[in-house]
Amino acid sequence: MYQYKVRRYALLGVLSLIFSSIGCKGPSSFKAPVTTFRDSSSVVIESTKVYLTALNKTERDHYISSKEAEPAQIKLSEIDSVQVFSPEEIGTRIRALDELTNYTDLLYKLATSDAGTTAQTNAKDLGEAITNLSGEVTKLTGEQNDRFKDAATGAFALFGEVLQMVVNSKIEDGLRKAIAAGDGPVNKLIAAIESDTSLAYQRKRSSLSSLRTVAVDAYNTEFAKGRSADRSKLNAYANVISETEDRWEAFQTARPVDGLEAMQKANTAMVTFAKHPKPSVTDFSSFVDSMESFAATAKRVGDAVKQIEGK
Amino acid sequence: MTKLEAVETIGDVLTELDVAIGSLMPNDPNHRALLDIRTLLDQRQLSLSRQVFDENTASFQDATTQLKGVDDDIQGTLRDIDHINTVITNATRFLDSATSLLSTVAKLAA
Repeated sequence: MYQYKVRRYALLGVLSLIFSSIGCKGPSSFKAPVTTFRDSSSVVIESTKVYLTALNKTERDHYISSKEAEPAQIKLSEIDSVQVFSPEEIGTRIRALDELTNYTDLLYKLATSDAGTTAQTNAKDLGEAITNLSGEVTKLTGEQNDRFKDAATGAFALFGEVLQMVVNSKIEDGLRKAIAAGDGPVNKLIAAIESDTSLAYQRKRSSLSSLRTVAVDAYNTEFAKGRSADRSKLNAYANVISETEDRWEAFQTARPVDGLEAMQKANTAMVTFAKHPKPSVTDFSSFVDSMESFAATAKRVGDAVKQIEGK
Repeated sequence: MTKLEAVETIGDVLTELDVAIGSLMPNDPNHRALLDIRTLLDQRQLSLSRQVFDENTASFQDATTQLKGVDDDIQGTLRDIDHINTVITNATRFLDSATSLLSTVAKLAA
């Protein structure tokens, strides 16, 4: 029981002061915004993964549809040449996002509940996964990976140290170290992935825009046949235009960068709050507002991405 | 301007061009002409996305300033298919500017 209290109060450095200074706000009220952060992070990360995973497919589909529309010869060599990142480079970034989620999730479990030995086992497994991923990151070559490698190396080193402390039953030390490191390493990793995701978003935007003309051209080509135009084909092409326009409209609000930027701000708000020696009710309220704002952005991006994916 | 901003600027023009293309009948010769420009501009955007270079160099900044200048000049004109010759002239002008930018980037990346 004592250990449980120590962990709980070690949350974000000085929570014992927080609970006493904000009076009516106990651990359960703090748990809610932290859970909001974790859930919203998951939504943003899943949305980002959609873009990164779909990046090469976007380029392939764009190439194929543009050749079909001309029509012109399709060459496998040209399909290979339109990829922005290799599958390995995309996979490493996605796994980095996964481990970031697992890391923050574990920290919050440690801080807000009596996670016990399960947490230590989880920390050990996560530590091993991050060590393996660090090895993969090191193997990435090419200047296009430099920023990501630099950010991942810094963040993973911190994660490794914190997790080792947890494995060694020094949970409160691990939490304090995570707080002392501040928002920098996590935000730097998010920013590096955000930069790559922004390019993916812009290329997907160009591809979807092109598909709008492909859909309209198909309809107009049939329409140009005049009386001999096939009504059922016209109807089918019109439906495709309608669906394409729906996706295009949804796409305008599906900027994964918005979600990642909101995630950085929420992370900063959380660390700022944690470092506050004597947070007032206003501080707590502001912290909750930050998490709610993040949740709203994450939901908007997540819903829009689902619509684009046709889910 | 950063590389990402340049990629976005090219993307803005691509989406404008698509509106113009989608407003012409496919058998219209101007449709073909705009589609050819669009294809080349799309290749420029993809190439720029893939290149890694120092975005702070004066030559890159000069090239992006020129791109931005052309973009400002042709703003709002590409959808006006009632003046299709102007659309094609302006789209070509922007393509040339993007091509020049890519030449600069190729030297920086070398």
